[in-house]
Amino acid sequence: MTGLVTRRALVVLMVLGVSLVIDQPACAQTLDAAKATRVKAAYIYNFAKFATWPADVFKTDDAPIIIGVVGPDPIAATLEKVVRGKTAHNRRIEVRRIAGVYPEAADELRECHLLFVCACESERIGQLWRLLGNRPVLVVSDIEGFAKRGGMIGLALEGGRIVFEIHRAAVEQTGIRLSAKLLKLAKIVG
Amino acid sequence: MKLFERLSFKRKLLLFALVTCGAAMVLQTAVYFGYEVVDVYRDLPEDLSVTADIVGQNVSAALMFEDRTAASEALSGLSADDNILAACVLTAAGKPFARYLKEGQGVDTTVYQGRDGHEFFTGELRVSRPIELDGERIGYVIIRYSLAELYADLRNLAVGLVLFFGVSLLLAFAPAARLQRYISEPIVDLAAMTKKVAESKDFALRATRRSDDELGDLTDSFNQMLEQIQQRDSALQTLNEQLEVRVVDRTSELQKRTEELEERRRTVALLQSVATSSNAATTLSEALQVAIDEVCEYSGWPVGHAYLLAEDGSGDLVPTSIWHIGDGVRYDEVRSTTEAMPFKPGVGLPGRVASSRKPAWIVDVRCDTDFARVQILEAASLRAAFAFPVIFENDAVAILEFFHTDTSDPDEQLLRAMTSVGTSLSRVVERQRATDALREREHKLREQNTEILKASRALAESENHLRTIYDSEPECVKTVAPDGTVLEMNPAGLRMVDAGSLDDVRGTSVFGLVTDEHVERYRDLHRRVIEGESGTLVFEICGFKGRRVWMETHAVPLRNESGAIYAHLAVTRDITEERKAVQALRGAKEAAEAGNRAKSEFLANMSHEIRTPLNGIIGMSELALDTNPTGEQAEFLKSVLACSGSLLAIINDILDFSKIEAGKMSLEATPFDLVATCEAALDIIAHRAAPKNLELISSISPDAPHRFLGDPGRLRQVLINLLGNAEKFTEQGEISLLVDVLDRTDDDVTLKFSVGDTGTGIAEDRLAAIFESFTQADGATTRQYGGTGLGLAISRQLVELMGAQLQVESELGVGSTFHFTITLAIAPNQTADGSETASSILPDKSALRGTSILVVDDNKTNRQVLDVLLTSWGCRVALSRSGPEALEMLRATAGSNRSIDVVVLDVQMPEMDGLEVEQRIRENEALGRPKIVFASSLGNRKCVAELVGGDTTSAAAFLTKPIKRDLLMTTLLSAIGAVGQASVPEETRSDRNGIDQRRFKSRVLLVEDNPVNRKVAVGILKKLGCDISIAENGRIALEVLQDKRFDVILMDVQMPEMDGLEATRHIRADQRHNDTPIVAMTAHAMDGDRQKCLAAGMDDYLSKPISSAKLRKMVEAWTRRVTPDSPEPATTT
Repeated sequence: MTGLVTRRALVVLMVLGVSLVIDQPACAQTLDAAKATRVKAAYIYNFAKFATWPADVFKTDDAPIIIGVVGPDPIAATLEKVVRGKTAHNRRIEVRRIAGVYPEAADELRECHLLFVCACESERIGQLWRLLGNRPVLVVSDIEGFAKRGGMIGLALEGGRIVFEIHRAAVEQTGIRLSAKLLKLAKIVG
Repeated sequence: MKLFERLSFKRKLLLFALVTCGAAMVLQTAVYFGYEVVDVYRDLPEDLSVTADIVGQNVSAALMFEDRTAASEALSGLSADDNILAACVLTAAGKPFARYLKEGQGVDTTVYQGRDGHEFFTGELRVSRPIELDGERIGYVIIRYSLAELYADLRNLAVGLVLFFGVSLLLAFAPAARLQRYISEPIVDLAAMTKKVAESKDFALRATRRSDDELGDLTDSFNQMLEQIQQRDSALQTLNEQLEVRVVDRTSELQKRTEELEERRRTVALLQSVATSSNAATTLSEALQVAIDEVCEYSGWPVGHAYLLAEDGSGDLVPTSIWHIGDGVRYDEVRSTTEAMPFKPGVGLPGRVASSRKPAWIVDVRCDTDFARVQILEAASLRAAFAFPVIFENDAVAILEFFHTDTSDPDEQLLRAMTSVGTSLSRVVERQRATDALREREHKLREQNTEILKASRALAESENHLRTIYDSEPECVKTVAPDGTVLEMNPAGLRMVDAGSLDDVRGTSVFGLVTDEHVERYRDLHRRVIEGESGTLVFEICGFKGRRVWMETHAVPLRNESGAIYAHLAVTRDITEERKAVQALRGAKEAAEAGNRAKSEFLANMSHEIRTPLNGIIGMSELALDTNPTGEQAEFLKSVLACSGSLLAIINDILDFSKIEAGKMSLEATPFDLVATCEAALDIIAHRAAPKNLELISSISPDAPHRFLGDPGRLRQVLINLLGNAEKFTEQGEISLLVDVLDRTDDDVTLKFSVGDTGTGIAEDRLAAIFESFTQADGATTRQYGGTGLGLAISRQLVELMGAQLQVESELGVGSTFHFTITLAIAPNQTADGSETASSILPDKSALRGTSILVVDDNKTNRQVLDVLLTSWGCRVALSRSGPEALEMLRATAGSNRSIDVVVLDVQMPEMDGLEVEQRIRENEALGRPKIVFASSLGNRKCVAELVGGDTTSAAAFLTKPIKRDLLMTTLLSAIGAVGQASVPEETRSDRNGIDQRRFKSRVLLVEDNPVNRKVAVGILKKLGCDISIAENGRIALEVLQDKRFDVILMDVQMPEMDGLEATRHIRADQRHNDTPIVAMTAHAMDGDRQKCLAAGMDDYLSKPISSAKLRKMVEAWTRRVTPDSPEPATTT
């Protein structure tokens, strides 16, 4: 009898163990990714607060700051949650999803004040710069080495934290001013 | 205090100076110290808050981006101030983010709290400030500040102030001790002098002035005071003496006044007694007697006598026997003489008084010139006389005269009293006259009373009569006062309200009886009636025993003789039972209607359920036909298709019918082309009519505008039903559709649609029944002719929806004509004269003007139709009944100015058919060279060629009957060479098997739960060359879409687990499939489904049963949007 009980207990333990082995990492991974997305969304919102656009980009006093998420990045939904009911420079923040860097979407892209470009769009960055020109659009991305390559603000993972790099010249030539406080925290790359 | 009182004046002065001075300094010192402390405690937190804000600004970015190192660096800047013990940055949630601690402080274990403010602890100050960024609170800075240095500073200040106070007090004492002498010494002197004066009572003493200040003034004032006391003493003496003289004067004056008062009192007593006695007197004589007695007694005159005004109106004064004689015997002579002597007005003493209406006084009668009785009076030794009148209504009605034995001067006071006596007496006269008048009136009243008694007896009889009616009246009769209280109510009314007696109701408010729901309306009625209207009202009352009764009341105003309304009279009927009956009826009616609706809904649902499997049958049969079946199998399959088609038609009929029954049918109002709609209906019937060789005639009045606003679908349905019905019951002859314009205005046109046939006809007694649901003219015909019998019922109801009546005229064996007349609005951008937009597309018909056309047709109706139409276009029209006749006409006119340009030739004609006629015309040049246009109900040129075997190639054109108006026009225009041949649309009847065999390489996702339908769709799609994926329901479809993209998604609407609408909403929420077209497939045929699908995000709508043609069209339409060579790779995230 005891033998049977032991065997049953063993089977239960094995099943549990296997399921733990299978579930744990997958779970942890998704959790980390979700957290990173949240932090990035919070950073993007913060950038909107520490950046100052030329006054003429807003048509009215209550025109919202438009943040465009370019490409199918999961950050869009998180960002929508983060900015819900919040303001920057006393303006509402509106999140738009933009399919990608396509010439058809040029107007949509130009209407935004801040763009987050999905890493999957990395090959079309050149086209993005052509579409935007020197318009005051602050472009943020987690494409590797984004700031170094002339992007404006790049996000990267460093020592378990998300840090950001700013290409000052690239930002300043569009007329957008970034707060000195922000620059102090950033890694300046150009 | 006692000690203080005992102190000398000098010491008191000194003490005052020191105490005052000391207190002022203590206060000053304390205020100064306090101010210092408050200042420090106020400024310090403010300064520190500023420091905290600067720190907060510096760390805000670090906090936002959670950079603790940067935050700690910012805090370390605080080491510049030695007093700052520690500092901490908290997040908005209150968690420590970064800390700073002064060197040598060990470990900081303080628990910090984020808020906005400061707090003093022993030895330290804590300031907490929020960090705000762009209006949002992102954290707090807290700074601890040591107060040790501050305490030391304050201690030093306190010691310094105490020392300063002591020294100042010492310095003040020396001058105070010297200065007090200047004040105290003169006061001591003055006190000594006062004492001296008081003791000696010598007011002549004077003090010496020693200084020039207020004390000097005090000495002077003291001296002046002494002098004034001296003066007052002597003045008082003089006044005392004067006062005694004045007292004597006043006493004598008082005496005189008392005497006057006594006189006046007597006069008043006289008047009072005259007034009292004259009031008590019943006659004037009695009153006069009393008055004379009283006056004599009052005045002390011995003789008095009265005259009265003669009643004959002559104004004479008649002497009376009213006398007051002091000594009777002595004046007998006077009395008898006087009583015998009346006076004229103005004559003698009484006459003068009567004329002047004023009292008169004679000092001595002997000296009076106008005194008739002077001798007798002299003899009686009477000397003085006076008289006064009693005046009533401006006449002297009595004169009273008095005589005295001495001469006497006029006594004004006596005369004034007499005037008052006269006035009192005049009141007696007035009262007596009034009494006389009253007596007369009483007499009259008594007479009137007798008459009233007679009248009231008659009235009582009449009232009794009315009362009997009122009491026995079965309806409630009541009167209500304007304020709403019940005045009267008859027994029937009392019974209605369950009142025991009238007393229960009378005086109560009528509104109290009416139930709350109705009382406002009842008040309104009452108000209107009181204002003079009359009215009727149905309302509910609650009787005295709580019984509710429904009432119908008719109320009228009641007016009194002057026309003023004083009540409202209401006659009220109990209608409770009536209402119950009506309500029961209504309930029964609603139940019946609900049952009917349920039936209709059941039918709608059933039709839908039948459609789904039918869809499978049709689809599978079509597919089977494409698998090269044997001839026999193909026949069977075609039968299956035909049967399914009929079944579908029946179901559609049932569905329409139940929609109408359920009241869910509504008509659209869209612009449509009347001619196209009619011709579309005819087209469908033409297929069925062709094998029977029936003439199909369409005549739409050329006056009718082309475009209208209305529901073309439903109009077509009615026409198809009527035409189909005509076709069904007609074996030979003709079927005609006529549209006539009956009336037109600028905005709308009244059209009469008639569908006639030459069929079996309907017996007169069945005419009404044919429009009933599920009924045909004869029960047996259903079996003979087939059909549900719903067609006419639906048509009738649709026509009724359009606001018209479907009517029928029929004769057994001759045929039937169904007709209805509707008024349609002309579609905008078109004028009423028919110059419609369509004409801008069509070629200019004016080219036909003057063209001569010969119409050859054995059918009379057809000839007439063409005659009207062509004439309206300006053509010269000739008509012919047969081929030979036509040839004859051509021969007759050839070469003349009446020569024929075009011949419209019917193909099927007895005796000589159209083809033969055409051949003859071609062969014989003598017949001219008219252009030939064939018209046939057999089909197009090819069909005719096959059927008849003749050669038709030479004909200019070929038209299929019924002839379409636009086509006829273009054909004729081209025949006479007005337009090029290329623009003439040759009619082709689409070949069912000639489906476009183009193939599509589209990727299609088919979402369908029904296996049969799935199979059908897959079969058709495969044939089209599509790449098909299948999902059994919405949920599976979403899974499939996770990693595949499609060019089009075909989505069933009704599915288990997740239906098509929900699935579409999910798909649309997914960015990747935003653009993928979704086409709904549904067996739902009820209204509103299309809107539901589109609202859910679908792009198009395909109603079941689906056929390969429909599906192909849909796939073609929606896959064209996708560029075939640029398939977007599914992006990965």
